[in-house]
Formats: sequence, C-alpha cells, structure tokens
Amino acid sequence: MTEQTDARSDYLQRFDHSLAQMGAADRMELVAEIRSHIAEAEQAGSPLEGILERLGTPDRLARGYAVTSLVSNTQARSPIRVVRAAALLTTMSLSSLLVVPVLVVTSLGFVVSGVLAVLAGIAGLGLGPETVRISPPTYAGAMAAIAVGVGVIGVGLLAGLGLRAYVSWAARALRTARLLN
Amino acid sequence: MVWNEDSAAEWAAQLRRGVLELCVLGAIAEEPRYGYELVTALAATAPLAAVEGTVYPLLRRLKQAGLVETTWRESTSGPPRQYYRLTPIGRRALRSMRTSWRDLVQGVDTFAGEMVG
Repeated sequence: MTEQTDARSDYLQRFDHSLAQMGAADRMELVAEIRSHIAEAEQAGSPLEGILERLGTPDRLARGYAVTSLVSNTQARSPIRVVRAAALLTTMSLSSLLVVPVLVVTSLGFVVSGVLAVLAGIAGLGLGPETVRISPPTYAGAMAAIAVGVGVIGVGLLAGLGLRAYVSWAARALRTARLLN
Repeated sequence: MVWNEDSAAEWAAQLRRGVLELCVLGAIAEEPRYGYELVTALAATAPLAAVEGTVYPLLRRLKQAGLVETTWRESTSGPPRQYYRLTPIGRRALRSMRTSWRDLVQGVDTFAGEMVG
C-alpha cells in the first residue's frame, strides 16, 4: 500500500515539476485534476499501474498540456508571452532549438543597436543632452547614423514578427503530431 | 509531397481530433460531467482511439477556447471533482459541428456505399 502511495505521489510530483513553465494557478489546477482522476479510477477498482500508463508519463502528459497553452499563447500580441512560448518550444522540438535563439538574438540585437545608432545620430546633431554632445558635429554623418539606425530597428522588428510566425506554426505542427500520437 | 505512412497517420490523427472534439461537447450537452467520468467514457469507446493522457489536454484546450467551463465540487468519496459544461459558445459550436458531421457522413455514404457493395 505504501508502495502504491509512493508511486502515486511520485507521479504527481513529477507531473507538477514538468509543468514548471506554466503559471502557479494553472499548475495547481492541472495537478488537482490528475490527482482526482487517479483517486476516482482507483476507487473504481483499476490497478494503479494501468491508470498511470493510460495517462502517459508525467513528462508526456505535461507536454500535452504545454502544447495546448502554447497554441493559445502564440495568438497573443504580447512579446513576453510569445518569447515564453518560444522558450517552451525549444524544450519540445529540435529545430526550434536552433531557429528560436537565432531569431531572438537577431531581433533583440538589431533593435538595440538600431536604437543606439539613432541616439548616437541625435547626439551628433547636437540635439541630445549637453553631456553626450559630440563636437564638432558632422551633419551628414549624424543623419546617416539615424537613417541606418531606423533601418536596423526595422530589421529587428521583422525578425520579431518572424519569431511569432515561426512559434505559431511550430506549435500547430507539434499539436498535430502529438495530440493523438 | 509523397503520400507515406506518416501522412496517413497524420490524416487519421486530424480526422479523429476533430471528431473527438464533437464527442466531448456532445457528452456534456445534456448535463455537466466530471473529468474522470467524461474521460473514461470517451476512452472506453474504442474507435475514437482516445486515451486519458490525450483527452485531458483536449479538455483544457476547449476550456481555453471558451467552449466549455468548469467548476470544482466536493465529492463524498474522495478529492474534489472538476465538472465540465458547455458555454453558450460551446453550444453553438456543437450545433454546427453536428450539422457538419451529418452532412459529411451522408456525403461519404453516397460513395462508400457503392464501393462496399
């Protein structure tokens, strides 16, 4: 009997652990649902081993849920949710492990350097605060810096859009592949 | 694209997924049911090829899509149960899925009938 209790709590603990990427409230609810399922099935007389087998490994079950929330997260506009979905995706598919970091780094890197170039250009025009002003200002160089900066920001944003599209596509592909084996 | 075993499996999975959604919504159309009851009823229906481990995430997705809503209720015999029931959107979805399903079956029968005979 204690062995059964151990197997049950071990399963739930591992399931909870595999849900680490989700919010605390979702996590608690999902664990409660599976705990309830196991208790009902045991009461109905099913052997624990069979019950757990039909649920799949804790990790696989958690991934089933993760793919579900992934798909609804990728519809989100918030960059944070998209990046979070992207991070989750890298734990699930090999190609994402390559594509996601490249797009995230490109997107952030281009936006940041673009902003810096624009700021440098503004400083060069003598428009910035006193302390960052470069003298003597070269008008053409400063304007070029601003133009290049804006272009670079654009490329960064495009990479961001690319990331969102990729995550959305990959999440759907994963769902098709996993939801029903 | 070449038609191979993988594409056949994917086609079958997609077909079953859509049908399973219809079955879940249909199963709670009359009255709310709790997770275990609902999931084992579906898993016991062999042609659906649904196992517990895939039905639970599906329930979650239907909830996130706003088709079903849940409430926790105490049980006299164990931990609390989560009851699933249709939202008004879910009810509308069920109606249109039922229509599509009937039309599809009728259409397929028209041709499949000849082939069987």
